[in-house]
Amino acid sequence: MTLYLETPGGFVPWSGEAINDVRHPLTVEWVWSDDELAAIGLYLPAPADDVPPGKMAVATSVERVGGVVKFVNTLVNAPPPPLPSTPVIYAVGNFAVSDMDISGIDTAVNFSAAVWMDVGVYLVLFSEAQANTRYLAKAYSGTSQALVVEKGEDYLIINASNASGPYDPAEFSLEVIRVQ
Amino acid sequence: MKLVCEIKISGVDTLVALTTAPGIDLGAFVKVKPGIGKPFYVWTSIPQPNPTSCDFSNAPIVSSDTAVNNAAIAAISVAPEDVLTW
Repeated sequence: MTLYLETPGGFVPWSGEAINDVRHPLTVEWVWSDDELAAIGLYLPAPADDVPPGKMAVATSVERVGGVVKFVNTLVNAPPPPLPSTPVIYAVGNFAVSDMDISGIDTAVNFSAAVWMDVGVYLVLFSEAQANTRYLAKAYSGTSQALVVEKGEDYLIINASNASGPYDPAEFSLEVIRVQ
Repeated sequence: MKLVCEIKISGVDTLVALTTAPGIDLGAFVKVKPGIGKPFYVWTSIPQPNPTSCDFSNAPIVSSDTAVNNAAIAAISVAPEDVLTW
């Protein structure tokens, strides 16, 4: 522990400098009593008070508080904790498939258009291009399997299949989740 | 509605007959697909899906003005059978 010397300008760390023209060994810290140290202006400060919730210490000084020499923290309001990332459903849509065509689109939010490209292969366009492709896209199609096989900034490509291979379900649904 | 135009799919220009979602403003959407300066056609429906080619020589061209695009869509008088092949 460091002893602090009381000066007209406040308390400063003491590293053996002469006090009143007398040099004392650093070992006085262990062999002198607190009263003997105080008699020549040396103090071992008491710990600072605990930092209360919502505050943070940005500096520490040594001060005399209520007659006790102690560390004193300079406190400021702590920054609020970061908000947790929240996944949000960005786009949804139901797409009807018949006769090698996307025959209808309903409940579409942020999807603008779709096209049948081949059996079990569909292209779906977003209403607006995305800033990047860091989104989760899920496809559903009842009893068949539907997978998003390609994610672009403005489109998705979906493959649908059943046990026999590529397959056109009567409809498929899409859900796109982004993290904000 | 069916929007017939060329769009890039996986980097390749591809002719598509897009089924558009109800309620979208086609005059605004064509600025995104196929994009300003590109030809397109819009019909309520087409006789068969998936045309293999389209004669765009007299097709409207996408303008940067949504109202101009909507007026161009309303003015399309050519029948799909006249310009599409399957």
